Amino acid sequence: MQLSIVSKTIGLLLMVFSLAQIPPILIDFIYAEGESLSFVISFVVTFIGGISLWWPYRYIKKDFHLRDGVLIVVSFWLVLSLFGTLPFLLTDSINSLTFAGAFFESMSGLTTTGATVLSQLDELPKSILFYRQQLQWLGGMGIIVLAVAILPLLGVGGMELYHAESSGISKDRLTPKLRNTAIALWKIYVSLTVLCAIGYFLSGMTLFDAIGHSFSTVAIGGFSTHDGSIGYFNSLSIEVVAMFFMFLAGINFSLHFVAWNNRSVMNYLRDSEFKTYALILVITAIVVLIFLSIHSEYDSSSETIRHSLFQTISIATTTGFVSQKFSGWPAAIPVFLIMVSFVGACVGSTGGGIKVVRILVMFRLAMKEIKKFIRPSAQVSVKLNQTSLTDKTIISVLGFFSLYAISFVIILMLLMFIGLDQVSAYSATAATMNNLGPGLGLIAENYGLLSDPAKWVLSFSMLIGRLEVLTIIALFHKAFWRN
Amino acid sequence: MKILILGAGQVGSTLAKYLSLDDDNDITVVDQVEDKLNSLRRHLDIQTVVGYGAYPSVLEKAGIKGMDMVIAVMGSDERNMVACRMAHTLYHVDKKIARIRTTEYLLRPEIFTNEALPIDFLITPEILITDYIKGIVEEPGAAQVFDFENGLVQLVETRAYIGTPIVNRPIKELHDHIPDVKMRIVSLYRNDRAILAKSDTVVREGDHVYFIAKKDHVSRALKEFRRAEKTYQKIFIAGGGNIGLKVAKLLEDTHNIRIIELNEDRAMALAEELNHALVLQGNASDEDLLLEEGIENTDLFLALTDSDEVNVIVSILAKRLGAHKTIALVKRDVYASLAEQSDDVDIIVSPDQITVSGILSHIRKGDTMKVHSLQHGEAEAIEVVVHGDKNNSKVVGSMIKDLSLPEGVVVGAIVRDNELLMGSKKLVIEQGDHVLMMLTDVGKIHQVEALFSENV
Repeated sequence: MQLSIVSKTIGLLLMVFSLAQIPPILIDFIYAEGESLSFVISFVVTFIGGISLWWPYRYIKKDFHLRDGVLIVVSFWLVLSLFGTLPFLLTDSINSLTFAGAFFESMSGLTTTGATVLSQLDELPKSILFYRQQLQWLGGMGIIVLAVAILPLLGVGGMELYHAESSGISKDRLTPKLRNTAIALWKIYVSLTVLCAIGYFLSGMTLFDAIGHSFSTVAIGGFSTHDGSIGYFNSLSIEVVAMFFMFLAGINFSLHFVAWNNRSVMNYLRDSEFKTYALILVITAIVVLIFLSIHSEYDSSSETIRHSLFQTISIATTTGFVSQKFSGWPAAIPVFLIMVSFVGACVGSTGGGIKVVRILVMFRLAMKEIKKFIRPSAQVSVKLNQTSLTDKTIISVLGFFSLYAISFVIILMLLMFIGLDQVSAYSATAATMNNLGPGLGLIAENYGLLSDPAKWVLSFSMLIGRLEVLTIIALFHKAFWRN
Repeated sequence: MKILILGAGQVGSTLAKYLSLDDDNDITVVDQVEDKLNSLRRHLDIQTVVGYGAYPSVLEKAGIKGMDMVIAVMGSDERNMVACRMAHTLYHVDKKIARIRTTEYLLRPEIFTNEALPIDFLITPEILITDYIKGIVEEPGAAQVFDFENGLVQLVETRAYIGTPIVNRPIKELHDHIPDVKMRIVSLYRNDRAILAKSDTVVREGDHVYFIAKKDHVSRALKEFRRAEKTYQKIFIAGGGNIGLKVAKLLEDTHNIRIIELNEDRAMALAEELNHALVLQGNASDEDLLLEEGIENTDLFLALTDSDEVNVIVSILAKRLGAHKTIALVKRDVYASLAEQSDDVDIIVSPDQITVSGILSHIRKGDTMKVHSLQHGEAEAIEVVVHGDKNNSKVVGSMIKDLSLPEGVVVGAIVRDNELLMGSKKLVIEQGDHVLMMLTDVGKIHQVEALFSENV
């Protein structure tokens, strides 16, 4: 472990991300709500924090090792969430927010979970609201990916960081140079955001709401500037725009990249993961639709279709926007939807969950076992996009799944020991680990009612989900710290 | 430049490493073995593709359509040839470089045309390595010798030893010691760090000195840094592989050569090929055999087997048994730096670095004639041709001291009409000059290229 280079890099990154406190100041300038001081202080404190980590080691030039990369990524997510709490704590507009609550909010933003401890959002200053949306947008594509794109000085070391943060079973690059890959990803991300904002604006949102919601839509976050989330607008066209962009943001961004380069959408249709993703969404929506119809939840069938489709896409991609109180829906639908969020979005997207491709690989592996059981001498291979997967890949998928399951059980039990009831604990764990957001029971509205220890556990759960378990769990293994 | 490297073996990996040091290069490496690629990708900022490098589907996956250059360094010559053919016919790649080792093919250069086998530049490591070893053998005292201008001028690396005229004296005194010798020190390395070679820089014991000199003057210049070494007469070669055989063949008429080969059949074949050299069948680490053949009065021991470990070990053994000087062929960087620390191995020959230098000369833009990669790829000696006139060139008509050269770049000499002019401050550069420069930091290469380019 080379703590000097870890400290230097985190300091550098923190200095860059302190700039994220500037846009809310401008917003406050426009709306004149007297909030700029808290953001100015946050900016200065974050910047000084960055400098003090960077300054002592500024001349150190070393290459990262794998372990340094992991440590930097995990600690930077923690450090950034920590400094991200400042505006929440400094502002006078939020009453009785504990430090645990502020950390939860900040982590929920950056990990694009979208769970909130705040209520009466509509009365909060615009700058605070904007700041929350912006946290999600920064976290969506990955803060390290952003850093690699804008900071050439990370150099080769950036690669270790990038690999530690980015999700996926294969880490194929879009371009030979990592930096260009990161830039390409951000170009796609920004374009989607701009288009989404235009869509919202044309559908009748105010400019402020349109931009704010486009941030949390394309990041698959789920923060809203209103307590009623998307349901506040009660507009079909806004919901259609949201569905469209949630669907796009849940697709692997390298598919977008190839499609843009070839000016053709054929590559989507050739990709097994995309097809499975679309299929899962369709099946889920149909199941929800059938049960809502049986229980006659809505008067007209068009209403039923609209809400079942919106809620399916929102939950299955792990966005967590709410148009209707799905937690109150009849029968098994709420639990079923939370279950679907485990599958999550595609790998290489901004969404959370286990990711469609891993589920697909495990499904095909199960099929293989069945075939081999029926015909013991048959040679069956597990294929993805017409190529056989190596045992190594399959084992890594299974390993990931087992870690995910173990983490889930541990967090669930911790919450129940803290005192949550079964439904709340189950849905809170799923909603945070899958970076989903809304839950059931006690947390159907927001997470404000939870105790501080529960908020700490859930903050950790969100980070586990965002960094895909292994990166974090590795830190707890003694081999990681042994030199 | 967008470069596709086919094959992630020793040469492919080293090339990827050297080329990716340059920020302007986009490198993609193709290999069939995923593990090789994974370890490369962990350390270098490059893209990798798994697959058979001669298949169009794999080439397309690697993005060959936009490539400026393909370098085929896969294990088999035939595969490299086919890959170049694919690159040319299907994807119209501009520049194709391939490693071809088989002598049978090399004897018929007419097959390497655009109609038959479209390869712009053939690289044959054995030939390069053999020439390199020949250079060292002919220049006793030098650690490395690099040719420029077909051998008219040489860049020589040597160590400065205590008790010689220049040690602890400033560089400028060289001219008083040997006024009629055409030489110029271009770089000094002290404890593996480059220090600027100015006229009042003092040379210390143990410094690695790079100087440029006319070939006939090299041996006299070397005397400034180390005691005179007599020309090598009795030479031992361990390992009768391709390189061992070629070296033996080159030297057998002028030197007393003994070559040891373990494999009986191979030893027989060597005996048939060689006329004067004495072929011994046995183990190069066999102490008795070495002693019996008079290792103690051997001038030079060359360890040229396939195995790095064997080469290092037998060099040490030979030195302990009395060989005056040992040279070991070492492929892996790790062993090379270990062996460098040992006093028993005098010179390390790195085949990769030599091969890569050969390829690099062909990758550099337009007017760069020759590139020699030094110091594990961190430094370079280059030869650039000056084009243009006073109006469209930043260098024509200016004195060397007025050139805005980046830090760490030194003009060593200029060759004008086959005449060597040392790079003194007041020398004025003319059109058509061949300028020899040393860069202690490869990263400056683009600034140098820009400076010497012709503005159209």
